[in-house]
Amino acid sequence: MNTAGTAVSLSNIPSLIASTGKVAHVQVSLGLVATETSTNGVAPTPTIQGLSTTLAYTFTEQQRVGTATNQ
Amino acid sequence: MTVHHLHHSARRTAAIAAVLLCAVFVAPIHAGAAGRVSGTGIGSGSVTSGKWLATVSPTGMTFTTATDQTATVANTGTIALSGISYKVTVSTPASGSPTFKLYTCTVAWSSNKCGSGTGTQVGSTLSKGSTTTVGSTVAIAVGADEYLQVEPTGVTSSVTVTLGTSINPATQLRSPIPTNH
Repeated sequence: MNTAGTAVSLSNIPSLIASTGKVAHVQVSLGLVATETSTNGVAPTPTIQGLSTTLAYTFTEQQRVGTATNQ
Repeated sequence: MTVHHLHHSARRTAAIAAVLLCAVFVAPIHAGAAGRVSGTGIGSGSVTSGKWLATVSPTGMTFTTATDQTATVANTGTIALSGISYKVTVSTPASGSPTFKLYTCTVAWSSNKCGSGTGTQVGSTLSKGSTTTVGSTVAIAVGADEYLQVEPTGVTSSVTVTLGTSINPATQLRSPIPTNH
């Protein structure tokens, strides 16, 4: 999980490593806090309850460096 | 250069939920081509969270005889609850050693009955001078109620039972909600 909000490299997408025309399905998963307890009908302070936000993501793909193979 | 722009917009209520956003890249790589090929996939999604809240009324019951008393638990949040923990505090009476059992029911108690049954006991027997947290797995829809009954035995002098609610989202069963595909 990327919790720092910084770019991370994805080195485990085999579809793109293969040949031309391959498709990679990439999924972004956002998990909200699961430890927030409401007591007697009152949310804790601060709280994530009732809040909203926008999740923006950018994937950058780049061709790997070419490798020589036997012809 | 091949550029993929993926713009998504969705808005769903999510409590404990996760939001899943998917992007699909088609590899534009041509082996042996001159230069290097790159692309960018961009997307976004709106996320809102719900509220998981419940109140119990009354919060305190005073027993002077071994007569059952009831309370109503209301889901005052914005998502259905699949479980609630109750903090039950029993005071120490001047005399006697009363014990209490907490029962839950999905309909209002009538003549000490849950429908035609006895309801479902929550936790074990509670003793005087104790504070215990017990869990109920009765599901409560938004705006709906759960009904409690406190059943005492051995009451010989005034004793008070105090009820409180506690909801930890980790105990809920809400599944992740995909918002963008």
